[in-house]
Amino acid sequence: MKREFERIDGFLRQWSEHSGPYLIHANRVITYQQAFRCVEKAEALLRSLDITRQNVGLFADNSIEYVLGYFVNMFSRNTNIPINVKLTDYEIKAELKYCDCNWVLCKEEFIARIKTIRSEMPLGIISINPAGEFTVIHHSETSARRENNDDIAVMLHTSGTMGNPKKVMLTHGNLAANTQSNIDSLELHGKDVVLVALPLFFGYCHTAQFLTHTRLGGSIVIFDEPIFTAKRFCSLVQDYHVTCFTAVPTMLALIEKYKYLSNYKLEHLRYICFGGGNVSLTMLGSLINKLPNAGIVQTYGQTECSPRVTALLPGDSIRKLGSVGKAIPGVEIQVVNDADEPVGAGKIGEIRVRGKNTTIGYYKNPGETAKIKKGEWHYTGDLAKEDDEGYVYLVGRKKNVIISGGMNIYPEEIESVIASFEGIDDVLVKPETDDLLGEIVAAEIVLKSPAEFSQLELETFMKTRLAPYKIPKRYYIRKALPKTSTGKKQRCNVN
Amino acid sequence: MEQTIIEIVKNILPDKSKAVLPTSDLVESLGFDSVNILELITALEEKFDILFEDEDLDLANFGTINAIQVILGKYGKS
Repeated sequence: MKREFERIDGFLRQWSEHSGPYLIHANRVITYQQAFRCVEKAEALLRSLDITRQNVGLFADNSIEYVLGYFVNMFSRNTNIPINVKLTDYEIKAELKYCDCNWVLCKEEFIARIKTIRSEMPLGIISINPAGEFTVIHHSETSARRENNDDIAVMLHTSGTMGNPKKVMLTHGNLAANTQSNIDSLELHGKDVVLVALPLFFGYCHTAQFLTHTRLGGSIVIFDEPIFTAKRFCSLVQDYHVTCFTAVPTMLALIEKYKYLSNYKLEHLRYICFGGGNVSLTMLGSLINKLPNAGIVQTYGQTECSPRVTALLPGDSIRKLGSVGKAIPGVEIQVVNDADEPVGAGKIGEIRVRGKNTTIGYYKNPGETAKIKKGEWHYTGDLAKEDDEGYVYLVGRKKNVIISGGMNIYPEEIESVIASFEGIDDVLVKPETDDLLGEIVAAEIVLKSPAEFSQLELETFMKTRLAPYKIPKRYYIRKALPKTSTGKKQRCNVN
Repeated sequence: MEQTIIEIVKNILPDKSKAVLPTSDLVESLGFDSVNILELITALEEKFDILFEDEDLDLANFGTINAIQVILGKYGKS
């Protein structure tokens, strides 16, 4: 029988007596019951400090501490603001300030980092140690308190520049709906063991893996090496009898290329879901052959939709290779033209989505919110066509985003940083195709005075302002950049 | 030997401004990602005409120049 949830803290509360393994990370195991007790105790601490109905930062990499911190915020009716630990101090400060965070829950090993940031803002810090204990390190030094809408469970960063970020507000209702859709779509259950290798703050991993399997009472194995390797993937799947895995195309390519794949017993693996970027159909076909027991599920979604929208289920994975499938249960889609009329089979249009999974908008950004919401419909900015049987094929993006190794990178953000470097007259950031990463970032730049330009100095400058994955891999010096007839930057492939 | 490995690592190095030292952590300090590590393993196999066994493909064996030297020693390359 399906259980309804109004708030997602219920996902964990229901398992307060469940003695089965919940989280497995680097040979550490914590049961649902243990996790519940840690969270319940920490919630009492936050209550004593009146940290409730606030936006609270969560600063941790993929770990047991991250999950505990996440649910402490949920139990306390706070809104989670997950911060990517790979961002620069400059970016982290900007995110915490924009989201009005007075407090941050921080994994113990990152305390020194957050203390550095704290020197410039009155941030309260609560540390989470490996035993799941929460301790106040610094009290917040501000009395300014912005009470939030406690219906918002989490804000996930999606795009935008530092001055105009887009933080997607996902409500408890959004997440309850999308996890149920995901369960129905893939017929997931409490005996499933999921392997998490993508960042937990990714919409994709956050809802479709972490929250979905918590709701089911299944086990979550967290990848325990700093980067993804096919060997470790195989070992974890074999050792923990992993049944479900979610990947970006780069990971699939690494698994497919792994020459010792057949040495491992991977027969428990029943699903590999993937999305987030272009994938070689040849590689995909080869992977399906190499892992005959694992259903390969191509999915489509976006953070604003909680995120999952469509799935191509294993039964169709060869017949409809290249499609992202059909809308999952509880989610409705249409491919429409500029007049909002369905375009019909074979014609290209924009995907719009209707369902309880769609966001209420971007935090403090009504202008950008208005661009994606029209009545009950959410406009994705993704271009697609449907075949005669209603299967969706992505063909492009209206919005400007580069997807490299599964990470969304927004050219405008990179351009604003490069443009602020002395000696740059104009800049255009674009994607280039890459076999393994899907796309890589390339920058075309126009210099004021080429003789005085140093690429090394530019790269050093960017490193203090941008996370490494956002920094261009290639540079092209141009005399001028192409513009459209209206004077806007013309965005087409470099070279 | 050490210099040969350093040259291979430098060719793959995502951030060319970084200095490659025998003890530099390729992932944490030099910014190697999954794809870079795969490129490194392939380049080492080609350069030294070897095929790493599965048991030797642990990330730790390719974590530093020193570690790479040790694992290559197992294949008679020193």
